[in-house]
Amino acid sequence: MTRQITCEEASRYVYRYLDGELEPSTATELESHLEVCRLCMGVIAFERRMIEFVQDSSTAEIAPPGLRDRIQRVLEQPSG
Amino acid sequence: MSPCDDEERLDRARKDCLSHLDAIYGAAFRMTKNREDAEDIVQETYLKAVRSLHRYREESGCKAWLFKILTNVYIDFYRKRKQVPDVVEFDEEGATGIYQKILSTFPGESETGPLHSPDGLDGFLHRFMADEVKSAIDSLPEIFRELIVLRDLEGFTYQECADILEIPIGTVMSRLHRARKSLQEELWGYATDMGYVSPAGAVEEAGA
Repeated sequence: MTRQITCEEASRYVYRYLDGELEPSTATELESHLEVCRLCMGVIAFERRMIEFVQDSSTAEIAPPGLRDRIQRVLEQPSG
Repeated sequence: MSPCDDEERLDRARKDCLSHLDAIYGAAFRMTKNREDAEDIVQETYLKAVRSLHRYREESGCKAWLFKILTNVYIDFYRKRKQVPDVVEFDEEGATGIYQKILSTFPGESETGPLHSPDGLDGFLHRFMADEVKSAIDSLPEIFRELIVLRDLEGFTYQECADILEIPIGTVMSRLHRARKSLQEELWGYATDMGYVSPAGAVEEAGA
């Protein structure tokens, strides 16, 4: 039988859960709570969407060619 | 280990380091907000990396190792200029995020219903241009911005973030929490200023 957690506890786990950083046993407890609590489910859905949005909006920078040439030369130096 | 093995290992390390150049440059640019400074910091990072390349261990993760060097170079860079990056103190309450505002603003969203509707949250988010999101991230205090970059954009684990920034993992969690909530509030403030949502809370129709 999974331990019942409160909405307040659930709210503390939101980011750790979405980031895959919650212990598996606690994640299971949270998921059981989400099955019966649409309020917390709404919070999770919202926070997940916001994180994805920031990730999707971020365009990756490309290092300028001149910098890449310089770094390649730096890496050719002997180590130590 | 034979000299031959050692040379092969160094070659792999050099290739690994070069493969992360775009990510390192992107992070440096986000830190400095200036392309010239970013290039200087990246070059210094790689100079330091190559000097300790013989100590580099593949299993420890090349990207996290380079980010740790980059963070230290960045701090030194500002110390030399006698400029302190905008470290701020923040109160315990901090930012609360915008979830309740979203619910009360968009008729399509409800606490008990599905959250993504074309005239609700997704519609709101679609109004932002990539540059506007970047500006919102840039406007965050340094200690928040670096965690958004490391965790959300570069995908480092909490432990890797803690190692890179040399802070306890509990601090990573609390700062990341506040960083994300603050970023939401920045986006909301921007949306209000731009008229994407009206201060009264009603959704502005596109083109209206």
